[in-house]
Amino acid sequence: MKSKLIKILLWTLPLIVGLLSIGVGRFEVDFIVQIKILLSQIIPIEQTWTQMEETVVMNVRLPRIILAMLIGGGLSIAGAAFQGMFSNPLVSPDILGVSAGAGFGASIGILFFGNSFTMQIIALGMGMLAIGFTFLIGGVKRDMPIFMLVLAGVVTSALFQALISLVKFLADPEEKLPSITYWLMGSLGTASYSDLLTAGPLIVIGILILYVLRWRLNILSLSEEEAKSLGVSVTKLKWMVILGATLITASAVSIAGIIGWVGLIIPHIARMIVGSNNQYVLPASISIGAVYLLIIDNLSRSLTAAEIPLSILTAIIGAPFFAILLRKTGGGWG
Amino acid sequence: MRNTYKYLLGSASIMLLLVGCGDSNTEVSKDLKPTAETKMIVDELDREVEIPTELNSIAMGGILPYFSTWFIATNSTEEIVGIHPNSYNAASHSILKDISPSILDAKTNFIENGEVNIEELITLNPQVYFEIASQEKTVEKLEEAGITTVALDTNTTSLNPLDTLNRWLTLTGEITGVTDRPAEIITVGEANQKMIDDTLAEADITEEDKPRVMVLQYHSDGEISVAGSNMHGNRWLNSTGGIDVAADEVDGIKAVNMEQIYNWNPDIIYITNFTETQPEDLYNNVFEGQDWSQVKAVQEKKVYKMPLGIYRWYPPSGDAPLMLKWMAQKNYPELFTYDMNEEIKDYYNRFYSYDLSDEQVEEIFNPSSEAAKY
Amino acid sequence: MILKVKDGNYFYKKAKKGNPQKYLYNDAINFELHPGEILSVLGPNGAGKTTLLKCMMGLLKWEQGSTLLDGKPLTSLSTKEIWTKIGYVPQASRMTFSYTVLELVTMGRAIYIQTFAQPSEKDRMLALEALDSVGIKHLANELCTAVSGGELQLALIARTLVAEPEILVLDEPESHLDMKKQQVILQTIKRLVKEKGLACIINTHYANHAFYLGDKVLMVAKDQPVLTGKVSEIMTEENVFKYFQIEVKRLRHETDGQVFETMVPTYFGSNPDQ
Repeated sequence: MKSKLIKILLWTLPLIVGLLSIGVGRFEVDFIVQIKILLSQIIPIEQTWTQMEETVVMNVRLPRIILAMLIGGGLSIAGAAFQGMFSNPLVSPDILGVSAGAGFGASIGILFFGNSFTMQIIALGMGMLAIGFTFLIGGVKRDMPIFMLVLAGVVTSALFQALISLVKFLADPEEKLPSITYWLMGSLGTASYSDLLTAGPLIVIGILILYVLRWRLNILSLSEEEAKSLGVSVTKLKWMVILGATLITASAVSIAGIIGWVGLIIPHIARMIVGSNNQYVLPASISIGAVYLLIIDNLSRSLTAAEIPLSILTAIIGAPFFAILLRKTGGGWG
Repeated sequence: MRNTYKYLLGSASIMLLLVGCGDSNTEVSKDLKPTAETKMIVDELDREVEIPTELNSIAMGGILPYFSTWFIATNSTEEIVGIHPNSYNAASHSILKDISPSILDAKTNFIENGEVNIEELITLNPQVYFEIASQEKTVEKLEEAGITTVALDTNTTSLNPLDTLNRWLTLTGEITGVTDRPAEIITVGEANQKMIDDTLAEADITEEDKPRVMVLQYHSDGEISVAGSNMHGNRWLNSTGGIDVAADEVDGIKAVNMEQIYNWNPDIIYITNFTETQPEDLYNNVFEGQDWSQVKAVQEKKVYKMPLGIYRWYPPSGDAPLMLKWMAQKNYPELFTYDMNEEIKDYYNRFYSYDLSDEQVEEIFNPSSEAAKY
Repeated sequence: MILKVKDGNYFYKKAKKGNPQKYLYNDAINFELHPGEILSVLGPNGAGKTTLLKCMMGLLKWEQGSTLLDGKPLTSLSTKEIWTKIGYVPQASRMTFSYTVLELVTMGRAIYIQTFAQPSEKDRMLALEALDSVGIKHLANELCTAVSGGELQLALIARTLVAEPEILVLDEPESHLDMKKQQVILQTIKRLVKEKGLACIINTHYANHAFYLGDKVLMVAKDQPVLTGKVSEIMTEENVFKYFQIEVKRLRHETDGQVFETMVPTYFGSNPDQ
């Protein structure tokens, strides 16, 4: 009974919060009006609102809300999948160096091409390159032992972080440096439908890959030999999980910058609600992560006239929240 | 064990040496008295600096617009032997290179990645080096290296946009001993300000009549950053009868979203030269996901790129008195009916002894997007 | 299903060129196991008991020799063919994530579930049945981290059973357990083997458990020949002294119509007069 209610909530909450979020923002739009504007996209309604109101609802808020939910859900499922695969609840989606790599790509993108589509492509490419680099160090040909992957990820992250610093050091302090610094803290301030079109499909593919593997992740979380003895081809499975998580993280970084904390804490919250079985943890993470980042982004765009970088909010709100949960449960998720 | 002892002894003696050096330095500076060849001035870090009376080689670092101040204060760039690469770029793309080509002889190699390379600077051997006051460490380091350094402050608490320029002009006058030119320019600036204030008062311009204005500092597909309070833009607007829409909510430069801009819905938008965006880009709505066509300033075609004369007009350059007049006219075209073309030609003729062609004036008022890159 | 290990041997480090290769076992491992038989692997710590199991199942590669299932070398079989035949019960260790007992046991069905699929209701029913067969069905919804070590070990056995193996391999299943729980584990294993006609290989530290489980014993120790044979033949005072360096007495005791065969270390002995 209780679990059924939770299930319904997890499915409907993102939709409800998403709908309510359309009413949040610096520009005032009447609630009835925004419902009308939304409906008018499907059924003909006489236009009683201003063009500006429609632009705000349809072109400013809607793509941003969808992106926030996609990225929040994506980073959370990627975090949950990695925590399962590495059998370590302290792992986040950037453990293998994707974020640092994509961040570096974005920095050089901003340096040479400004904040543009080209920058996004470079960010995405560099994220993938970073993963390749991690494999190169971690040893692709062998079985990819987990600890080697983690260490290789640490090395890769450190290297690309240093490269980011180098780019910042070389950047013009008048214009480029503030842009890069601001961007690295994560923002959806200029999210548009074209962002949705370029990064959205990749994130969705990544989510789908992890989603169908969700039960298999339980087995991956066991010791390597145990998993093998259950007849699972561990290496192949790891590859698929890494591919899925990398697609999500690199795409997310390429359009929204580096957003910390989401991929780390949401899976924990999901486990507190649905237990440890990844078959349920992964879908729950999508739902909770989508709602969480959406709320964070709502705050980011409406609290002050200036956009507040997402990473600041995810950490300021996420860390104490997480600390309270930790104390309450004594880390009871395992 | 013996090694540790050796290290301790070594580091102790180095310490002693350092302390000794420090002491002797202060003593030496106390002993120095201004002579016939030198004089004492107080820079903007409140440091007493002894400088030669006769100056024929100076260099300047992180204080990017200062070369233009120096030029207008002295009508010469001959003395400038070194400038920041960013300043050099700006100069080589501005009208200054035509007015005073010697600026292009200045060296830039003593600045690498924004940091002063002291050894290169010593090789260049300027009599005085000008540095930005926020770089206190650099100033100290240079002083220790025996390079006479004058610190200039870009920060100001004054609401007067000409405050920085006036301070620098006055200080430069003290340094060079030529004070009448700087005083004249300050007077012109003050006169322009008074003219604007009087005209606005005469026209009974109330708060409601004032145009609501936004300054777009950095802009691209992925970033919309506006300048708010404590920025040059805010001061220019206050002095020219504009209301800065961002003043209450934005301190310094902050990223905002389109919705916020709709909320402000400014009557006029000024675009700085720190970004490549042109008014036409907003008119033509070329930015993905940013619908500027809804904004009043865009609908009424009141988006202006800030001019670029001997330097960008956004920070207080040597052309600053002109900036006042230009912006006042853009804010109130019906009140300020003077011909800016004539104004700028007169000013350049008077202070730079240079006759601008119509094409050159055109270029100053319509700086290319390329200008953002230097 | 007949499991046969032929000339199996292993080494951790390849010898440098010119040096003779040193193997883990003094001589090659050879044994054959038939359905319904239990083979106890005995040996001191570090003798390579766990390694032997892993090599035998292909989790490690024999450096020499091979494992044959019904005469076919393991290396010629697919993953699925191997792991539907062999069920491996590792030592119970602390788990990072607290799955429920039922969820843990359901994982045993992995080999029958497509990579992108989720377990069906049938898989869950089979898991419950397996739990029933090891006698802990009532714990199905408890967390693995909340049940006792013995119960977790039983759950791991159940997890192996849901894949319906013909050969059961257990790595010290009763170590770290108290006597009552050892009893449950050993009885369950013996019962399952006889009921389902499984072949079973079990690593153990306890000589007495080998007597209880019966059938065959494989005894290994460093620098000692590998001994394989019937329990009664291998489990002698001399062998135990040679392989474990401990003096024991093998006792046979009859009481209440039952025969007890056991080994007792001599240091346990005391003089009742003192």
